[in-house]
Amino acid sequence: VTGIVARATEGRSSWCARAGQDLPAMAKGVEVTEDDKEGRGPLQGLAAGLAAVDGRAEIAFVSSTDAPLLHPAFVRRVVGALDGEHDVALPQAGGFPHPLAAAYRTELLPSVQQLIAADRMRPAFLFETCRVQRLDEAALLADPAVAAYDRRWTRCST
Amino acid sequence: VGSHKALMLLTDVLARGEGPEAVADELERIEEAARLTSICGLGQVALGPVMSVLRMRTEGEEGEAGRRGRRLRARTTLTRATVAGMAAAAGIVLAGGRSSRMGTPKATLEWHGRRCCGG
Repeated sequence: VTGIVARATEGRSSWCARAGQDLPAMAKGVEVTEDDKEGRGPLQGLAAGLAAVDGRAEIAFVSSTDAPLLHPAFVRRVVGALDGEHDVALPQAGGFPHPLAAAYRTELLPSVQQLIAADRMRPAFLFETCRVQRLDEAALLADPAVAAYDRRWTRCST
Repeated sequence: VGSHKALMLLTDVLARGEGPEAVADELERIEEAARLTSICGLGQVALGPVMSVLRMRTEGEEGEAGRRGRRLRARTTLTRATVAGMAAAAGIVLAGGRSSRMGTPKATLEWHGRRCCGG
């Protein structure tokens, strides 16, 4: 997954792990960011990741690690959908939003940190405070590159 | 005309026991011409499945086939960059911590004998 994300984002990727976590070999260009606050959920990981790329990118594609069927075309489609009118491009497939297969403006870091400080640890709380571009299956498949490979992206996570 | 020519090329290489990689450059040119010039929507995407197979077969492989696959992906990236400023994007992969709900650390999950989080 790190390799796929790194290729799709031209090699600027960060891998967020808890301190002391057993780590495999990473693809070239992937940095490891350790998060010492364990058990705080995806919003804590999002904060660590956004902090790691802060000042180096305007947009970050965020993925969970258990998505072996993730495809670079999907990453490009989601990142490409994030226009100047929105802060998050959020895929919505199978009736559910997928915050760990989404693109975020890195300037959202203070908002994420505020939610963590208030112990509001669900990504849904973040979406209440920013401009979200929801991408349903039809919108994702409108990209021929996504439609061309297949629809496994709808179940790419374990 | 392009679809017919691609069909002839593929029929020929398959008869020789080779894969589509053997004519990837020609297929790439034909697909691009069809996509950019066909007045029919179906004609624009007629070679989509073939190019998809080609990308999947070359994804991650070393050598000329791998380089060709990367060229195809680079072209897609350039198109997206024109539309949405893709060049400023980074990636973040969350390792999953202890993955207490799942019971197994997600970072150690394997997919076809390889850790799915890795390169």
